[in-house]
Amino acid sequence: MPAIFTIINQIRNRTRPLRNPLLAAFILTALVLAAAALGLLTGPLQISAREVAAILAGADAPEQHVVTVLDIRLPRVLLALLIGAALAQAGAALQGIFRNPLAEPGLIGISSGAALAAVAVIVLSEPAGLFEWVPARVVLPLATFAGGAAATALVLRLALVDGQTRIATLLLSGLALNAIAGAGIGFFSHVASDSALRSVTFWMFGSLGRASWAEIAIAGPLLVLPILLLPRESRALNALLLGEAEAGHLGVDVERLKRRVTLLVVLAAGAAVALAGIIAFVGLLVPHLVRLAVGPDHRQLLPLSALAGALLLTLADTASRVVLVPIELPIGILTALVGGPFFLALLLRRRREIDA
Amino acid sequence: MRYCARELRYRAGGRLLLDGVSLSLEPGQVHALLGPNGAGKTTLLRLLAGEQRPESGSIELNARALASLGARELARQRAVLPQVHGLSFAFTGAQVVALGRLPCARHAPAREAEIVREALELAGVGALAERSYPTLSGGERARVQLARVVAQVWEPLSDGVARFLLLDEPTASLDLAHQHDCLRAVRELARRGLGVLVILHDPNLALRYASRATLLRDGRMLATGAPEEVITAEALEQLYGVPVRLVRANGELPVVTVCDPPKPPREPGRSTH
Repeated sequence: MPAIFTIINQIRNRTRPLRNPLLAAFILTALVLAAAALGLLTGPLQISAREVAAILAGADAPEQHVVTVLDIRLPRVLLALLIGAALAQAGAALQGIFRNPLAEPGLIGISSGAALAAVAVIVLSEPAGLFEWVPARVVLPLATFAGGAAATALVLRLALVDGQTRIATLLLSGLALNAIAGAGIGFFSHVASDSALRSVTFWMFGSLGRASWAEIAIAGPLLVLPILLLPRESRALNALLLGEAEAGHLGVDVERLKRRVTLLVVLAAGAAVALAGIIAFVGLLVPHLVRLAVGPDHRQLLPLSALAGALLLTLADTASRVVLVPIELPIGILTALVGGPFFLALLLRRRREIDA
Repeated sequence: MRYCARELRYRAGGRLLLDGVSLSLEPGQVHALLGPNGAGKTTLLRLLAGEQRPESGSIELNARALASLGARELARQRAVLPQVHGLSFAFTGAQVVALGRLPCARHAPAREAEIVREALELAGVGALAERSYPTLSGGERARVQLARVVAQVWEPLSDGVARFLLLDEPTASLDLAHQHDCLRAVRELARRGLGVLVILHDPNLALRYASRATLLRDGRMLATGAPEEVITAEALEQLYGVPVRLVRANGELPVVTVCDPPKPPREPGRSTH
């Protein structure tokens, strides 16, 4: 695909960003479909591409193969697509309202608040016998979501000075809250039983291994809503990049914009953590890369980030299933392992601009 | 149709920053606002812009109370150029200017692109349309930002309302030639019907390009009126606290020059360091 080399060259030479966002959208969509297909074909059970296609089309096949494709792989791929898209787009929007390319949902306490709630529920419910009353798959996502939302509400409240959200205070409060939540998670892990500890690990490092249609039915709308609604704020987010006062002069109600976007971001990131635990770097890295390719205009940045996020997470999930067969590598470890050094490389190349 | 402030008072941190300031901007006029640092010029501009509310006094825009206008309605009638610009994202010059069109009733894309191009041309930065904003020099950025606010009020008298432009030191980071280019562009906009308030530090620029001038000191108005009547040696000395002379060369505009301060008489018995 020569187009990809063109993009890579443009990124490398830091020339004018990719001229044609439609071309980028087209390429990304094709890649997302290819990655989804790869995800459906990959797994410990060998099922041929032809058979997978036949099963998807509703044809007869061995029961085990049908269940594997329709009830295990398909929901998992769908969940990877949704979570990847939601996390990346939420990251892009958050970077927009902070006017800082280094912001991500984890920074404002969403992820750690959610993880703390999950871990507390896992560890405390076992002796209390909570899961005999209500199933864990209902309680956990709810508690996680509530934890993320509560942490973010607290951080936002702390950063509200004279009716204005102060960004520096926001980031610092997020930092402090992350540390406190980290201590709580450490404490609960320390006192946890072995089986509880395995569940805790699941939340801390992220995995799409629990994907099922039930999960998609519950959390799918929570992920789809922000993906659909955030792009409506594109023009206002563009104006906000000029500065808060300037956006106000252009008729944007900045405080309400910040609140709306933050709420949608919490929705997306909270639902993502509730379903799959903490998946690091997608919300940070993807928008960064897309911005390098097409420029900072949110009308392109938001949808393209969603596509690129879906692509990245689907590929990462597929890889996490095959690199350490027969065990599965938690996807959060994989994204951090790849994303961390990559981000560091970006920083090293661009640190002069970032500090300026 | 005008932009009218009456008896504005504004206090911040216990200090009275504006005290009884009244000002009226008319369509077609360039109104210069002069005063020393800390006189309250930017505060006045912010109150007019609707960014902050006065403690007392009233502001009307096109016969409606400023406070009763929604943010978007306000943005369709006045544009504001602040002193500093925080944009660090890699928009192109044309994209920055297009951001100014956000509140406007939008035309077809071709016409919108034309407005952006014409605004860039008017600000003298037509060549920067495709350049990445963070790579521009300070003066180039200032002119792109000027083009942005100009684009916001591009059709000064459409839909039966007058439009106004509030400029906070637009010439601050510009070289001599560009300072004059900038104010010529502003005067041209006024000729098309725009009402302009411009904060200036150079009385010569005010004398040359403004149709009215207001002098502000310690939050109070010292004088307001036609520039050649208001900007006198006495008024400037009072304003800035330095001796000033107005030099008039055969029939041209007077030129303001600052004289050396008189040597303080040496007091006997006190040592100088």
